[in-house]
Amino acid sequence: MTWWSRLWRRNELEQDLGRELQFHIEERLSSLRRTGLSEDEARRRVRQEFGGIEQVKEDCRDARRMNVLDDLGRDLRYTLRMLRKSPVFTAVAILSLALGIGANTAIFSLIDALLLRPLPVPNPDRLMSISMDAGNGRPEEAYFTYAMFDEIAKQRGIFSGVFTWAGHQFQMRSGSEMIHVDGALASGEYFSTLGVPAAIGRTLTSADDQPGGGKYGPVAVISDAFWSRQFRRNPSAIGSGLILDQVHFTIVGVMPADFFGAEVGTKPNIWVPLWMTTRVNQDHCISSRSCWWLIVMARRQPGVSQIQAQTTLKAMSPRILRDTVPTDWAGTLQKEFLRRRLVAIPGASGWTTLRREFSNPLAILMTLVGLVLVIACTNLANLLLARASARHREIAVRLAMGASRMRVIRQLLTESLLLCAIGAATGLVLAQWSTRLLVAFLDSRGPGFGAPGFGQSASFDLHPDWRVIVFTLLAAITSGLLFGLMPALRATRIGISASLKERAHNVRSGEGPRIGIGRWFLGLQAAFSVLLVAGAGLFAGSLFHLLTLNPGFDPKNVTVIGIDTDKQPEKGVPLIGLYSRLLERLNATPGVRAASLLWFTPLSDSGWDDYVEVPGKPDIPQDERLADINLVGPRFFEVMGMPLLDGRDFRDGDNGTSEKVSIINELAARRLFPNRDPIGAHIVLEKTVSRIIGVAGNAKYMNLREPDPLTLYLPYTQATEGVPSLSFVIKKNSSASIYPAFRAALREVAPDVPVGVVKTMQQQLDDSLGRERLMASLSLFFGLLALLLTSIGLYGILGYTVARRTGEIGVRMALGARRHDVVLLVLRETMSVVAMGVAAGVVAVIAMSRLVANFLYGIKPNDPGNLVLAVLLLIGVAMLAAYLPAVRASRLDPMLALREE
Amino acid sequence: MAKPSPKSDLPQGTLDLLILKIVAIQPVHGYAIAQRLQQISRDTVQVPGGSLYPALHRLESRGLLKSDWREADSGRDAKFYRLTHKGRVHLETQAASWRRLAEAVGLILSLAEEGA
Repeated sequence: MTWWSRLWRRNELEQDLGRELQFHIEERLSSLRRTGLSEDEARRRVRQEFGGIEQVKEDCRDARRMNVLDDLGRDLRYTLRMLRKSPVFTAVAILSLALGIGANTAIFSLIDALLLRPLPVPNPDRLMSISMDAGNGRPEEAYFTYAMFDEIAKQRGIFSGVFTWAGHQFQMRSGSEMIHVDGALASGEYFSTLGVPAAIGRTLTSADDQPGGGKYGPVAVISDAFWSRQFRRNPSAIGSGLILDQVHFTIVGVMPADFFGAEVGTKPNIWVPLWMTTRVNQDHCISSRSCWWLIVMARRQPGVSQIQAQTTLKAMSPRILRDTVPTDWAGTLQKEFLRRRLVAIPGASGWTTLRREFSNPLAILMTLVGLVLVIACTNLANLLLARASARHREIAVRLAMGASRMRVIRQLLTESLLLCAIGAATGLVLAQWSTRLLVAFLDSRGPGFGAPGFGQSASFDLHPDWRVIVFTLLAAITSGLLFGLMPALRATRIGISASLKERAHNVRSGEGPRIGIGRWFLGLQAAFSVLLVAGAGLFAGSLFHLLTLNPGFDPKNVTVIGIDTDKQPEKGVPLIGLYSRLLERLNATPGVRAASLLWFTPLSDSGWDDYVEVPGKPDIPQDERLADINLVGPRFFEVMGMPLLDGRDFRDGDNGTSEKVSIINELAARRLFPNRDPIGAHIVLEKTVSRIIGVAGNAKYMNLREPDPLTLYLPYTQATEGVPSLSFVIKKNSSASIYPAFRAALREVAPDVPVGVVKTMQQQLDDSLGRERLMASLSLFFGLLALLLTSIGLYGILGYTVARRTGEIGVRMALGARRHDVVLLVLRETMSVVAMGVAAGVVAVIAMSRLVANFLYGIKPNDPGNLVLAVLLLIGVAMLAAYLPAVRASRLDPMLALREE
Repeated sequence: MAKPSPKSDLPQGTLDLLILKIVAIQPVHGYAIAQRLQQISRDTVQVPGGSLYPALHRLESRGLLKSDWREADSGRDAKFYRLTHKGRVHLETQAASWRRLAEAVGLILSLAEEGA
């Protein structure tokens, strides 16, 4: 009776049991009666002999029940005992798995959060993201004009709702300061299409999103976090006012905690109607046909498939584009525009540019990590194989003693599954912790000027999604089954008598149940390790080159603090005056060696470039006249530690009324004025002529990787047509923070101005290398991991091999082989496999070089020095790992070794 | 007369072996097993119900015995046990090792003692 049928028929079995015991009692009674005992006497005797009937019943039940659990328990206990007896094996196996699975899970979590996880809205699979096909077949995230959005929104046949939004940083007063609050301007159907109702109050509707303001005036919806922070979760927040960008808004609703809109990687705190842009942005972007600032998404009508929506939208493209083409564009540009097509792509996981930017690095990382996992699994497989073959005698005996093959296989599988379970659990914990590290790394680009970064705080939902846990479980179970089943099947397949007699024949150099496949694994590990180590070398080399690059300026003790003057009533000359006053105040502050201004912070991946002209030299080709331009203040070069090679610096005398001046860098001087001193010459930018008064040293501008650009510096005091928000760049006397002093100065001079980004120049430098640092450190880590795993695997396998070949070694030594002959013997076999693996790895590196070429700087993927280093490292490590078992083999006493047979 | 404890003093493995052997001869019900064990061993082996039936159920759940209900000599219905193939193999191996053990013990015990 199988255990499951027993479960079903429990009642019947109970009755059965009762009847069976009753029968026994009756029979005994009868026989006692026949010997002449009285009824009472007989009954008493029976009770005495039998014991309590209920107790017996219970024991019988236990006997049945226990069997199933018994077997399982026995297997587990046996397994645990076996594992405890070989702590090194257990530790290595678990560690290998934990690292392999942990690393994979960490990267997968990130990929999940970025690419896969759907928005927390109802029916996210019906959402679509609208973009434009730029003609090369690959749609990129596109920004649209309001006119285009309007037209797309009319496509009610395929879309039940179309919405748009634009990210925005609101200025809000908090206490005595102005701060920035992340938010978004959302169109009328934003909330209704996403389908998430407000937690309290209401969401924004089309009635609110009207030109000139909606029925209820300027209204806003806030996030749960903002509600907690600003209103301490008081429901009276609804109806209260907020002054944002100097406009009074009324709060009408609070969104639930997990809602963040549709842009992955952002966490807006405030949403206001889209048409409020005319007041908060004070521009007419919304009515312009050439202002590209909106992200568009839509929800499919029920019954409309993705393909239908895509084809219909594409078909409507020509008309929509025709109706919205920017009329002030040149004819050729217009024609090019009309050639584009609108594309609807699945938008279940929201909209983000991060996918495109980080897809490649993440893909590379996933591959690296996958390789590590393979190495870890092959390690495990090898170890399990070796163990199984070492125990084949024990297994043979068990089989002979009547254990079914199934039982033995089950026990071996229990072992590997248990190892994998523990490894996976540890890996999951590791993954949690390392995912946070990963995001912190990727987070290194803070919000740039208008560029979406990962956000200052981890705006990713990183808690383990069910997908991640399933992935880990799958990885664990698959490896457990795969790498446990094979050795188990192998080990139990051997003929019993064959292996029992094996002992006598161990002297032959055959290895009994061969670990042939184990050597293949070893070769594979060696190949992958070479790949990883070489890769690590490349990324580390890149980083090193970038780090040791001279950026042209000295970042030591230099801090950059930006302020936001867009909303200030002062414009033009009065605004310049504001900056000057602040600058004066700062230069008088203790702790400040020198302070100046700049527009674009170096190495922030943003800037302004344009073509300059030299009067009298019309024949300089255009691409040699492209210059990077920056607005700076006096003493800028002093602050940045850049040399002024010729002429003079800007000074207070250079203002709006005096002659227009400029400073160029050395490269520009050499290129544009090759044979003469540029001082006194003129240079033209956008029809404005300025006289060159100085030549500064070369410096990197937008990022470290580009070659030194031609640079033109203009004084901020002469930018009278429009002064953008500038940043103060301060050279400090020490490394102490200058921020409090800055805030004090700002409060004195301009209390209504909010502070923007605050960063030291060193931080800026480091951040600009964020991606490189990530790739380098991760690949180094994985390379080392691969080396570690491979060497451990090698050590383990060799240990077993030597243990099993003690007989052969004994004979050899008895026949005169010396110690180092034995060492060589052991080494030679393994090293040949490793060597083959290394060769294969080198070939792989060369083959894959093109894939990573884009990420490297200053080093080619095929760099021979790097390859040689990787190969040497691997061989060295392998020899080291093999050395110990080899030496141990050579130390065997031949007499003992032979007698062991 | 000393009251026998409800549990027998036979170790579990030995009891199993004896039960299997009795059942091997012919299918039999629990009461008969107890009787035969007592008879054949000349009263040396007495297995109370409290040990016998749990053992039978254990052996059955391990697949060494199979049971069905039949009419006993006395006319009542009783649960009869018979040996499965697995049970037979188990019986043979266990019996063989028991015999080896008994032989070894006998050899050691029959050693002449000093001064005897």
